[in-house]
This record gives sequence, structure tokens and C-alpha cells, in this order.
Amino acid sequence: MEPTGGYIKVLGFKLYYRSFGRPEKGTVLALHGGPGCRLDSLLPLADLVQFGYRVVLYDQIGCGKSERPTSTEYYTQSRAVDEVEGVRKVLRLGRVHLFGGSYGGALALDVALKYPKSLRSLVVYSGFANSALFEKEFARLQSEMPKGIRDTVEKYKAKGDLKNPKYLAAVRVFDYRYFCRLRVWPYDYWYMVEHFVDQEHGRLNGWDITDRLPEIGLPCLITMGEYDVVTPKCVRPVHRGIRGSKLVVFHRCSHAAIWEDRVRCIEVIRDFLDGVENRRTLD
Amino acid sequence: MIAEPSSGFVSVQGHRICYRSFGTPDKGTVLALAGGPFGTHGQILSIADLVQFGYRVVMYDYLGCGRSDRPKAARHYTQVRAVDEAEGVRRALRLGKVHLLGISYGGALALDVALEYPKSILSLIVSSGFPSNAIHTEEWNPNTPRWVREAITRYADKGDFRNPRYVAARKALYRINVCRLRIWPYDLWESLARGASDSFFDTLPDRLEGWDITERLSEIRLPCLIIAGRYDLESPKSARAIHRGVRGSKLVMFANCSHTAFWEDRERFIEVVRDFLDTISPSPRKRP
Repeated sequence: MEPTGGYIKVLGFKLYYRSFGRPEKGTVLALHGGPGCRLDSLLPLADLVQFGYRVVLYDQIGCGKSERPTSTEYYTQSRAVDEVEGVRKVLRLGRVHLFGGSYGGALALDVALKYPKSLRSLVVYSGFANSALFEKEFARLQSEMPKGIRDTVEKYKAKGDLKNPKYLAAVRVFDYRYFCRLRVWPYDYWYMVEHFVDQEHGRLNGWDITDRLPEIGLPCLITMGEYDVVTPKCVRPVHRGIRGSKLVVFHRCSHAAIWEDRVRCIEVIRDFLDGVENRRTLD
Repeated sequence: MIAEPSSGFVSVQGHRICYRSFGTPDKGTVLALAGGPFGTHGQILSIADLVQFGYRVVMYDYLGCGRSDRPKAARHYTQVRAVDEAEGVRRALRLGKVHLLGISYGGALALDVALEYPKSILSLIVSSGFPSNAIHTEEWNPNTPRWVREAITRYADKGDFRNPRYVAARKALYRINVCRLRIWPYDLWESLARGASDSFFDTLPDRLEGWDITERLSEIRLPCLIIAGRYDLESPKSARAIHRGVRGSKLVMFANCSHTAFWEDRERFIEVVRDFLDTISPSPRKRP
């Protein structure tokens, strides 16, 4: 089965997608993070193909190879939720296992609330349910960096010299600690970081769905890295809120466990999906 | 700005060859040869990790493989032609002098290219390669379990490739001596699964019949890095023979790897290759 890919039109804009394998057991639809990353960051999910899953990834609007309208009206959270449902329908994926990484995890939670009947299960990978809490924790981690690093960052930020190699090197220290701890970044991950375009546009201002999490009645896997930039303070409420959810922490990983410990991460996701599929068959 | 990866076709020896290119050659260009002789470039995609250190990485599908043309006549599938194909791709893409990296069969091919076209090459990296078909086909890695060797030898001699014991032994061989990861990366899995299911290749004569360049290795005067895994499908005798033959070559053995160190220990493999490449300064450009 050759992998496929191309463009689909969703909510009036062209989105780039890639599809791997056949849905012998089920289909995984994956949402990348950012907002502003690209599907490349989640390519190891295609390893699930050898276990009978079809894996579909797409670049969200404004990201990667998808269309980039400039007006901010296209970058709201409610539109992003409808975009996910639109991709599922246009590609006729049927009920999917929805995987969301980082911001994609936050998005997946919103999709689960609005379109529960479109989903078989939910995987929230380094995701969160409260944006203010995430920002607070992010700021705390930054404040805990060595003083020399912080001073360098501040100095070049004040000058507006954000392309200075010294500034970039100082920022990278944080990245290698909390985003991806590999000494060599896999090409696809590196490429995604180099092409990152911030597409947040305030869509998560005041966004907090913690209180609504108990409404989610889907089988749910929650994962995070031991040194994740999305800290336990952000992840634990998701686990507590979704009844019966399973929490897995990847040892020695940060925010990119799917690259940092690819084999183990895929095993955990595969075992979870297989469990959901087996229960479905028994019912 | 980061270069977009590009791909397309180049015409080499009258046939269309599918290539992919990653990054810009700030420090140099790596031309990477996959295993096979019928592997697709997908199996070595992790080599593109070198891009972040300033190297352009170019891969292509051999004639008959992947998206490259597939002429039917067996005369197109000889070692001599494969050597010229590598040189043809280099020229067609105007890569200049390259660091030539070959994996498995690609390593054997790289050695042949280095003998035939030494002026096209800045340095040579041979990972899990071999200098002689006799070692390649007859010698086992001592870390291959005896039952696997015996089952494969017995049923292969009989031509009984469907025997469940042969199938089981082969599966074990892949897990122990080809890629030790519990889950294979998609690109490697896909490349090997597709190659194995393609019966076209079975119809072709063995291009390496009697192939042995051990005695000629001393002619190679390029900086050379040799990589092998402790559990490598390729016997360690191959790596040692290349190491002995190519003067000044460097041998690095990966302790926990087999035939695909570039996936099994991707991070360290790239570091070792990067450090080797970084020590080779390209001949300085002439200044006006």
C-alpha cells in the first residue's frame, strides 16, 4: 500500500494531508501542535501502519503546505475544531482515533467535546486544558534557566535582534531541555522547528475547558515526557477530568517523546489503540 | 532561510532516476547509496539528519527500484552500470565533489565508485558494507544464533523458502541482525517489505557473482570511515577487510546495533558521520 497525500478543500481553504497504510483495525487522525507546526513533527505515527492502522496527518490552516490566509478571522479555536471534523468528513475516514500533540492535544479535547460521535478514542500527547496555566508554567520554566542564558535572551530581545546567533543559541538551550532532548534532531523535527510560523493569533486567550472534561466519555490515553514543557501541573488536570483515562509518562523524554523514545511511544499508543479495538469487537 | 527539500527525476544513461535532495551544501554534499541492490531510498532517510550540520544530502532510487525507470532487460542491472549510475547522478545534479556514503550493498557500490571515479569523491563512508561477495554470502556474524544459521542454510539449499522453519528463522534474523528496534521505523519497514514482495528482482542474475575487490582496496586514497554493528548481518570480517585495505581508514563499531545503525542508534550514527565529515576540509575555493 503506497502512502498517499495531496490537497483537500476544507471550510474553503486548501489543506495538505498525508495518509499511510490501510484501516485494517482503524484510522488514526493526528493533529500537530503550535499553533504553527506542521505534520512533519508527527511522522513517526506512521510506524502504526505495520500494526493495522491507517494514519492520516494534515497541516492545519496557515501551517506547512496548507493555504495561509492572512486575516486573523481564520485562526480561531472554534474554526480549528470544525476544520478537524471537516478533514475527517472530506477524507471519509469514518470514526477515528484522534491523536493530538501539544496544542493539537488541546484541540483534540475541544473536538471530543463538540463531535464525540466522530471519535472512537482520544490520545492527548503533551496536551493541556487550560492555556493560562500552561503559560504560567512555561514562564516558570524559563525563569528557572541559568542566569547567563536568561540575560542573553533578555539582552537581544530588548534590542529586537532576534536573529543574532547568540540569542538563538541561548534559546536552543531551553529547547534542548524541554522540547526535544536529542543531541541530533531528526530531520523532520528540525525542519518543522526551522519553519515554525506562530499562528496562535490569540485563539487560546482565556481558553480553559478543565470543568468540561468530565463530559468526555471516550477511551482516553494521556501522555507526557518526564521533562515536558507541558508540565505535570498542566497534564494532571486532564487525567483527573477524563474518567477512566490512562496517563503514561515517558522516562527521559521532554516534549517530543515520539522522536526521543520512538519505539516505546509507538508501543504505548499501539497497545492503547489495540485495547480500544478489542473492546469494540467484544461489544 | 532553510532550503526546501526537493525531488524529481534526472536522466542517467537514458533512464529516469528518481532523486531527493535535502538542505544546502554549506559545508559539502553527501551522496547516499541505499542497500539492496534493490532497496529504495526510503530505507536511509535518517541520513537527512546531517542537514542541520550544514550538509546537503542527496539520495536516489537505483534503476529498477522505487520510482526510477524499470527497463526489463537484464543487461541494465550490472555492477558496472550501477557504478556509472552513481557517477551519472552526481553529474546530472551538478553536485561537485561529494562525500559518498553507502549502506550495505550501497557500501560495496561506494567502494567500486571510489575505485572508478576517485576524483568525484571527497571522502568515503561505508556502513555495513563488504569488499567481496564471498565474505558477504558465506560468512555469518558470530552473533547470529546457530539455529537461525542452520535453518536458513538447510532450507535455502533445498530452495524451500516457504517452509515455516525457514520463515521463522528469517524473521528472527531480521530482528537480531538487520534491525534490533522492537518497532521498525515506517520508512525502513515499508522499503524492506516492498522490496521483498517484488518478484521482478528474482528474475535478474546476481550482479555480484564472483565480485571481489579486496586486493584493490589499497588503491583507494580517500579519507574513509567504516561503520559496522556488533550484531551486523554483514560479518565483521567484511568491515575488518575494508579497514585493512583502505589505508588510514577509521573503523567505528556500534555495540548495540546490527545492520541499520542509522536507525537503531540514529543520534550517535549521525554524530559519528558528522564528526568525520567535519574533519575533512574541502579543497579551498580559488579566490580571485
